[in-house]
Amino acid sequence: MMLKGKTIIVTGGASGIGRATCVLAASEGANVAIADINKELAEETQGLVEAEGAKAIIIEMDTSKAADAKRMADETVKAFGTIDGIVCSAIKLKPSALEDLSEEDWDMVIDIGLKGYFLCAQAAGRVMLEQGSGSIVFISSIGGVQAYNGAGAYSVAKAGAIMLGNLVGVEWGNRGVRGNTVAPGQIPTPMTAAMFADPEIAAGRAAVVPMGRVGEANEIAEACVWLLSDRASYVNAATIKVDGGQAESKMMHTPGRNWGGKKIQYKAN
Amino acid sequence: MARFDSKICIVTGGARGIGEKTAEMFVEQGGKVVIGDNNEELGSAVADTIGADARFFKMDVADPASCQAAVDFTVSEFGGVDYVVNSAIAMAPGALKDLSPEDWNKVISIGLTGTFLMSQAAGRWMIDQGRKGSIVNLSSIGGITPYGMSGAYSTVKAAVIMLSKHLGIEWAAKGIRVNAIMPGHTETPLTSYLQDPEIKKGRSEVTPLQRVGQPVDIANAILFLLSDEADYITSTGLLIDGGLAASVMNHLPGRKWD
Repeated sequence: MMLKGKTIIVTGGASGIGRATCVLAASEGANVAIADINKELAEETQGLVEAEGAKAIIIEMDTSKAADAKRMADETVKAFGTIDGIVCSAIKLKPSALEDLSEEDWDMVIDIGLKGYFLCAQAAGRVMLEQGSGSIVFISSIGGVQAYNGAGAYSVAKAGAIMLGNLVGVEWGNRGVRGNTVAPGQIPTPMTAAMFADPEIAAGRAAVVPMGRVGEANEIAEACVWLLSDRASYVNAATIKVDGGQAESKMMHTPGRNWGGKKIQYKAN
Repeated sequence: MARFDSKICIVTGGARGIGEKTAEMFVEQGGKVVIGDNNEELGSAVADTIGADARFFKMDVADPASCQAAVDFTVSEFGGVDYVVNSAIAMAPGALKDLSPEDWNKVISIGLTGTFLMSQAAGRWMIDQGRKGSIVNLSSIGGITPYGMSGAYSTVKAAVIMLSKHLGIEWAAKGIRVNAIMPGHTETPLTSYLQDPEIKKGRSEVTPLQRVGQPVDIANAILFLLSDEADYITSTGLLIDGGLAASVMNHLPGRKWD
């Protein structure tokens, strides 16, 4: 088991990629702290973690509040004795054209998706620095390396998360704490469920990925668990894209380009 | 069930260093391996040490017939090919001003053309058989930041990243994933200069994790990318450098925020 005896915090652990990470970490032997604003869904995750034979606590919190982040670290240490890793995945999406984006919506996404990552990593990181070891993983997005039009502040927060992961790795690496980022492609989760419910959108989104399908939350969790584990002990300040090749597929989607003698079949909505 | 039960991998450059460690760990985790290398003495010794699930195949990755023969050998010995790790490389360091066309061609033909030819030979077999696969190509931190005085090395390693991404998007729909890894300073026979304690100390100190890498660090990442755990990862590169590539601003003399 890759995380045997380790204690892992997952922010946004109540659902989606966060939940999948909680369950996979549990199956690899970790104690899990589920940090989320949604207690009801967090309890469902807790049940799934316990079904793996692992221990879980719930920390009901707003990741964008420093006092909550400190309480998150304190309660985890109180329950499990220390913190060995944290996956920051809590985010809220507020799509909008930039010209219409309100200050409140900008602040909300940046507060949770970027400031919240910092505050939670800092609070957990202080414990790890004291201990002299730990691994911090930020969930970014393909939207952090490619501008995601219409997504409001999302892309900017996700690009910031990559740099924050690098910064953590560079500042804390010499004290045993690694910082890395995972950048998922299109993954159906509760956050994106409404969009993927439209079959035309779902088909279009799968078609633009070189692998011909969207990903699964569990496939992101695999990368997170690997980065948390000692198998990634020299991986620091790095980003793993888990996107089926989508970020590199730009030239596949250029209409009229035709190296192979046949027209590019590109179906999108 | 072990992680690589019934899986078959070709590792070029498997006689030494990162390739050797990868071959060894792949078999430890249940797989069968063919070590492709031009060094028969070292390569067959490695295969013997690993045991019955390893074979040595003497080859020149820069020769398409040799790459095809490696695939044929693997299929005849073990019944197929699931994975390829392209780690064969030659070094010819030198200032660009003085670099000979022979030295340039040597590094390009083994490091870049060899990666293409071996991937192509194995990929054609996988595509013909309708068999899924995964290929991992060894780039380097030198592929994203120029490595002064390394001759053609940095150029080759940068090109390997693009080759990997390119193979990845062309073969994704066929179920073959292709990725590159970029190790930082890693202690292998290729980097014997790290045996000089002064160099090793200096290289460790400039790395945020305060040490140089070991072959096991890199092999762990290669095995992850080969495995089904990385099932949605293709056309990307992964740094395993202890944070070195991100640490440029650590090394500016005179800057001191604190």
